[in-house]
Amino acid sequence: MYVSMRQGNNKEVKKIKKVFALAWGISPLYIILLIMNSLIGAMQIVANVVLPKYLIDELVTSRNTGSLLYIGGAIVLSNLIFSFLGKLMTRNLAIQNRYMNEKMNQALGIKIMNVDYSYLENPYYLDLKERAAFACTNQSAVYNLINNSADLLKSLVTLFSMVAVMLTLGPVLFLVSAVTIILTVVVLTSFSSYQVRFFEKIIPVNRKYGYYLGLGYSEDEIQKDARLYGMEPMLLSRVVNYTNEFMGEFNKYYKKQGKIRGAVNIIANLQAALTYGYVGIRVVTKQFGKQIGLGSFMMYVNASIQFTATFRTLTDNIVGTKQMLDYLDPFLELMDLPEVKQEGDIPFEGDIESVCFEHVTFCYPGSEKEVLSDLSFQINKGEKISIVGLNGAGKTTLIKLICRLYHPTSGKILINGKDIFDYDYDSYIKNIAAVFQDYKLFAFSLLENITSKDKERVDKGEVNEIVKEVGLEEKIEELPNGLDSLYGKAYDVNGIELSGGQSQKVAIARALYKNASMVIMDEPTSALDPLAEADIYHNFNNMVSNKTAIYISHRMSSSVFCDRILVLDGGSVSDFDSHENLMKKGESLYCKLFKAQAENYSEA
Amino acid sequence: METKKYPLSKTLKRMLANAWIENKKLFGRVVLYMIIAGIYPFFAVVLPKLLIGVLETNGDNVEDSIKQVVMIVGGFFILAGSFGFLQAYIHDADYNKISRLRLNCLNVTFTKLLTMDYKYREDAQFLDQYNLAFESTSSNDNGVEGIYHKLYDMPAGVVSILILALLIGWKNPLILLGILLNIVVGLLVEKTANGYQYSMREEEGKAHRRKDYYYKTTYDFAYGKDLRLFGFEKRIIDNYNFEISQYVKITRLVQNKQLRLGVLSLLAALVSDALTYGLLIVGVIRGMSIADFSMYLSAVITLTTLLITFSKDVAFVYKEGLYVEDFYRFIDADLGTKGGDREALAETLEVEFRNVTFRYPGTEKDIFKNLNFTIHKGEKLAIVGINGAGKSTLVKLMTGLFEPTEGEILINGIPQKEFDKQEYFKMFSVVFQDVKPIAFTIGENVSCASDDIQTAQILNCLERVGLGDKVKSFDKGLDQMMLKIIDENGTQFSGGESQKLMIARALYKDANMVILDEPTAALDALAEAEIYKDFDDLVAGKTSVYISHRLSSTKFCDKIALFDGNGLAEYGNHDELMELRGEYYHMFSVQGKYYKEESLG
Repeated sequence: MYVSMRQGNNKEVKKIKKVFALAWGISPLYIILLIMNSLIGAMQIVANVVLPKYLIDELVTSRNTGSLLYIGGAIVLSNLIFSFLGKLMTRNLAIQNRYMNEKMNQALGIKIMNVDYSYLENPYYLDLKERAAFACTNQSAVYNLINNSADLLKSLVTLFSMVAVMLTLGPVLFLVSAVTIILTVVVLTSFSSYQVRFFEKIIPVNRKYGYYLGLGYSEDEIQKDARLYGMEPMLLSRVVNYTNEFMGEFNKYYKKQGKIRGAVNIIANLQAALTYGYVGIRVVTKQFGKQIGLGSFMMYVNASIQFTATFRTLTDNIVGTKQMLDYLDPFLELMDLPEVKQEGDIPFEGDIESVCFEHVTFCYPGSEKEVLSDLSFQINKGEKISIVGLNGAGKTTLIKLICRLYHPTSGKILINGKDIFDYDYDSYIKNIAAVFQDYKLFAFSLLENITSKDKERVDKGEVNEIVKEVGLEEKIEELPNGLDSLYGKAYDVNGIELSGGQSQKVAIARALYKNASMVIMDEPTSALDPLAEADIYHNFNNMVSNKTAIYISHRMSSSVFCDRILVLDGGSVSDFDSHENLMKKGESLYCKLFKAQAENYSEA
Repeated sequence: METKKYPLSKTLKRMLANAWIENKKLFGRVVLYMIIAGIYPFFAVVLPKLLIGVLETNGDNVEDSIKQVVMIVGGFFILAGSFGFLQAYIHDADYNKISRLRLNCLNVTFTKLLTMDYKYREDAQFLDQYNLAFESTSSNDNGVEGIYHKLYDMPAGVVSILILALLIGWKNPLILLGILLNIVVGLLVEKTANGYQYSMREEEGKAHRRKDYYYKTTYDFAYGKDLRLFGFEKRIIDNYNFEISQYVKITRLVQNKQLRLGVLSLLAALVSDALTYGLLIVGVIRGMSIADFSMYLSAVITLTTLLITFSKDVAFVYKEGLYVEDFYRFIDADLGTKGGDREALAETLEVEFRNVTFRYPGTEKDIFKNLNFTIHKGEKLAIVGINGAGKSTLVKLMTGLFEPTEGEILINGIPQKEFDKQEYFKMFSVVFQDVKPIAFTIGENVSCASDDIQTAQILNCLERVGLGDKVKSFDKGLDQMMLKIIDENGTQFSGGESQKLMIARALYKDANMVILDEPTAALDALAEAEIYKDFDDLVAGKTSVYISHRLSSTKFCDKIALFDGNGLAEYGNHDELMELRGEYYHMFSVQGKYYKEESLG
């Protein structure tokens, strides 16, 4: 593919430098091997151009069997050596390449684990990550970039060698080659601007096509609806429409590409004809310079052909490198994201005595909408607080702020009288255990999931106690490997699968094990049936008796046992009081919500 | 699969037959390309010979020689130039026609995936089994399209090879033999190396999967919160490093084997090279012209390259053919039960489970055993129960997405099996948990069709679920696109709104039976109450089933069926079950406890 040849600005050089710096950090050996490989490749080409000259000269002139054997042997031997070196390099590069590839992917993974959390909820970065991953895995952009650069080196060395050979015949041969190359470049450049425009137009169509086609392959809930609601014709017609649309475009594109490649072939043959003609005439007559022999004839012709071929490779290398750099933009943009500044250095000591929101306003990055506006309230040690509100009232957001996943847009959150961002992160986060709605477990053993520690460093009795409290004891006894069972089948097919409710209990156990002085539960029981839910609530109060606890639940009944209820309405506190007092305020949002659910149980 | 022979010729025949059906002209183009591209390499072989012939016999008449040189290179340019142009142009112009063949395969797969029996979609084994089939149509360069491209290119290669082999073999059969030896050894070496790689495939797959788990985990933003709060990062990086080293280890093994075998092929290349140079040099000593010498030399090099390409192509077709065969197996597999001939009933439904036993395909555990119960005409039934009691499975059985392992389900006394499958689906409006809108217009999301849309009807349904104002707020109304993936101005509904949209979809379908599977789990108390309130309206005159964790929903239902781990445990109306003082009573009291205390207090 021949894309725009405009290049050479600093930005791209910087990008290449960056990728190489990353690669060098991962495996210097890989880079060294690549350079060696390039040089060997260039040497092989030079040998193939120069050696036959001596053979033919010998054949034409002396036909001495001994020296013929000698030269023929040299050619055969050089072929052998280069093939062997080639294979050796292939092996080493293949191993290093795989390692490099995986480590490069890992580097981005580690980055993702370390960037400021706010990026992870921003759709822009989600999309960026998808594109970065696509570039690395599907387009092998890092691999191609590094290899292209290595090939570039090989091409350059070859090119200079060939020019050196050609110039020994005088400037004409070189000029002929140069002119035809310029012709080729002109033709290709005209095509490349067309190409850029074409792909700009076609990529969105292809993306849409991919989306609709993907619906057929998708494993989520749509498969049931597709059948019960007979959606297939509607979906297929969309797929067919997009197929036709981009196939029509590609038809034009390939015809054009065919003409261009055809023209390039014509120019290449023109160059061959001119070269053979000119060098041939130099054999016939000394009119244009020193008369040469047949051996030199072959050498010059080959040098010229090799020169053109290498130049073509070189432009492909440049174009390819540039293209890969474009592909890598998302990758590099992600790698450039700042990692969480571990702000604050005051070690957090003791328990959480108070949590105080002071005029906290919050908008998600890139959005103008105030999810929380001018929020002020205080929670004291040991209190059990329930946060209640309609969908979208900002309940979960509030929790994320306490967990330092986001900065308030304005205002402050004080814990024990100090801004939470003044504390050293690790010592701070030790004091908070949260179970989110969308909690995640890892493909580790259950024990590791709960403790996030190695087996050897864990007090099993303590874990067992917690397992009992969350109601997982029975399930774990059922498992042949008990707490050492591997969670999920993603890592190993022998892993165990837990139901949504059971997994949720593991997540709760994890939060309890952390033994933090504040526990936060965001819809902790949504996947549980009423009995399991009641169990958890019942035990929970015991488990967190001396801790500060915050609950979020759509089950209004869960707020009854809380000391105070924080009612969020449109991002601000509309009430913060005990259940009894709130129920007395007949028209409050809380009262309405509570009654809406209570009504259904009242007759019991 | 290792020992299984697969009928490559059959697969290829079928591919050709398909291509014949879809684009007959393509075959003519292959012949044209074969001739043009087959002859093209020959010019570069002959040119030096002719030219050196002139140069060698370079007599006294320099001018004459120059004239001859000019004529030769001129003739070369005209012929090679035009063949070169045609070769590239024909090839590229046909490229897309071949891509089209693959895209048509994709459409066939797409339809099949959306219409085959639902049970396969939940069967991980099934999807694994056909994974290769899906891969075979996923790119330009592999599988179906990869083979088609090769089939297009290879005849031309054969023509060139034959011409060159004849040329060389005519004069120097030994050289030809050397070349063949080189190629054959190369093939054998590659086959052995591939065989070794194949034998490592399982191990490699395992290492890959394990490494991939960490890749995915680190890339998945959803893990972000827990990673940060519970400090899993170091563990994950350590494990990830270990998995990478395991994965690379396998590459090293494979590469070492390949290198060792590669030495063998070097020897064969050495023999071929020595024969070529040796015999040609001897030839010249015995009077062969330098012109012929150079022609044969370049013929040998070209032939060797062409043969290597050709043998690689054959190996490619062989390997990719496996995937294509999988694709055809998928296309041929009978995965869509058609069912009987009965059409959808136009009356209110009664659903009877008779001795139904069910386990998911490939599992051992009975979800239900000898289940017997009936949902009567016009009845509103609530299904409640603990996690894992099989509530959602029940819906899948009722709606025909799965079939009972034993026993049968009767609709108004007619066995489920007697209905035509598509007709059967028509009788149910179902709202599942977690269904999200797709990137179509609001109207299409409700009607599930692009033509014959009854606008007034759709609006009415949206109105009834409380989305009327929302839709009116868009300039385009029902034609407003949803999601941002296709149209950046698309709208994104909140969880509650999406849920309501799905209920509107069910209403629009207006089937005889309505099933709501946990429709309010994601909703707040007020939104939930709203849906309860409208439930009567939503299901007026129809048989309906309501599944929920929230027992409060049971009160507006006529009957309640409580499932525990062993099947149907309690059945009756609310009052009856409360009186029974069993599991339902227990659950209801537990869940209602705090509410009750409050209302009493």
